[in-house]
Amino acid sequence: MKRHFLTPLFIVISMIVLMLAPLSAQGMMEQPVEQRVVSLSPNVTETIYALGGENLLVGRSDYCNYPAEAEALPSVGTLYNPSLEMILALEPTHVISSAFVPDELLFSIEQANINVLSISAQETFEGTYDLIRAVGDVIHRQSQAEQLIGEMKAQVKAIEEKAAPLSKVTVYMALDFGSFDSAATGDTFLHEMIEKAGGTNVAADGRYWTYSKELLVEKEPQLILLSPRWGESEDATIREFKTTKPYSDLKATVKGFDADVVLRQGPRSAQALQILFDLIDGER
Amino acid sequence: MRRHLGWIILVATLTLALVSLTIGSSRIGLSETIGVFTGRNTSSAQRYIILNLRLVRIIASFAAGTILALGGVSYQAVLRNPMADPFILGVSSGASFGVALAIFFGVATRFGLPLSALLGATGTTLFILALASRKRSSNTVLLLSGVAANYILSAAMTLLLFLNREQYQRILAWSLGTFSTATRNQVVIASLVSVLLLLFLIGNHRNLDLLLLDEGSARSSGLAVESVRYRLLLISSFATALCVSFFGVIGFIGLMAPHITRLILGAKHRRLIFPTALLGGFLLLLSDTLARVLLPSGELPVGIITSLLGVPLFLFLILKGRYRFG
Repeated sequence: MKRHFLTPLFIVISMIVLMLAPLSAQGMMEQPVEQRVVSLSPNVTETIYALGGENLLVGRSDYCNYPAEAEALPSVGTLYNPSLEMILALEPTHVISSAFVPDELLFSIEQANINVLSISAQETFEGTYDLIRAVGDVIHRQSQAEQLIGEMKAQVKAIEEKAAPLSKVTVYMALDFGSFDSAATGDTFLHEMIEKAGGTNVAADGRYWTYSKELLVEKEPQLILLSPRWGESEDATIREFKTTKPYSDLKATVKGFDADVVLRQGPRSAQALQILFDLIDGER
Repeated sequence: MRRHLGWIILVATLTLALVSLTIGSSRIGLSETIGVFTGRNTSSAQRYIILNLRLVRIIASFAAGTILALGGVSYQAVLRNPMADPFILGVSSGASFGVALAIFFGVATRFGLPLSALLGATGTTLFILALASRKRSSNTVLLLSGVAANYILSAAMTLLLFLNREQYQRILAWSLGTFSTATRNQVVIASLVSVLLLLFLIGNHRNLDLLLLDEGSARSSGLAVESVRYRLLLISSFATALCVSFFGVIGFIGLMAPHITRLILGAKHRRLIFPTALLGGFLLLLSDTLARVLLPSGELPVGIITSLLGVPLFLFLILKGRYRFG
């Protein structure tokens, strides 16, 4: 009887040892490796610079244009179609993207044993702070992230307090016009920013970034904030807006704004709020 | 029903137009709508919405529908092909490509999207017609050239979209068709063109009947086949190109409307042309009204509605009716 249980016991022990071996080997690999980060999104790039992590950055997307130093980094392609080869050639340890990058591409990057962080931008102003925190976690700059968030919150609070006693200006923020009307509808972070900056967003009853010309005419906003068309100057887009029916018949003041600052959820969002405050205040 | 189809559609259209005036994303009641026309309603916003936005769209969509339906009648007869619609010789792909090209090169604001579309559409169709005229032409050459052009231009447009992702939505939204940008000038021109096209086709109704016969019979009955075909194609193409350049690519009306009236009235063009025009207008007015009201605050491109509406309707009629093409 004694000899019969020795063989199975031996087999079981060997199996346990064989299973544990790769796990301990992994443990041995967890030495701190120098991080090399590729950012596939302009707001992520801005955040990394703002947190002082720019020495970790080895690559960016075509649209990562702020701060100016970022443009010296090699680019791996556009927001929607970055090049897998170019990403891999930079030998990153981490790839961070915030939106628009196709899931299949992120999956391929993961397959190449690179850490991928995909941050879904929340449609709230608070989501900006979550984004900064998430990036801070990846590049081990959590305390800088909390400090930045604290500064931004203070700035935002100051602007809100300045705006609260002032009379509200009715605002329509147009992101696209013509065949298709895209506006800052009630379910977006831009809606929150307009309201915080002392405006009343007339497109609050809209959803999913789409609006209609009828409602725009009915609401008769005092101020229209127009996002410049891609590749065009503010003035050119304003001119086109003012000469297209039915927008040309509206009595509102039409002003442009810096889309790179206002439409990106990132470290400059408090600055964006100040920009909106100033534009709205100019209408009073 | 057969003898009075035209009147039935006309009455239905007027009813629909009235309903369409009162509905929209901006809620304006019936009495307030009527008040705009009697002068009792002094709200400038409501007057603007009713007169400059809704009324303009109603007339525009009706005029465009008639043009597309008449284009369908003409093409189906000339090409002797029940699958023909007025886009088959490159009008739609040429127009969309013209728009994509203009946006890609940043000249869209200077030229305007309608002009870019018109140049693209007419350029393509003229090219195809010129190409086909070199061969001792048969319908096959025309159709194949059209198919080839559509493929190439669609591929080229997709390439431009791909290279220019930021403008994707703008180009796509244009090409799917909308009446929300219709201006008074466009409406006047479109209405004029639709009336002229209607008169032109009615004047040619016997030629259209003859073209549906095989070529031998057509010639032996004294028809100058070549010149008549080209004249019909050119004028129908230009009218369609104008419509597309103003309002985008709206499918199915040109294909469907002639078949529906043929199912009810038979294939003789003398009885077919006018009701088909009215039916095309009615269907497109209906589609545009739905496009405006289906979403709570946005608008659907009208080309989507015509396809969604049209295909089941079309299949239903095909399966139910005794179909005679020629």
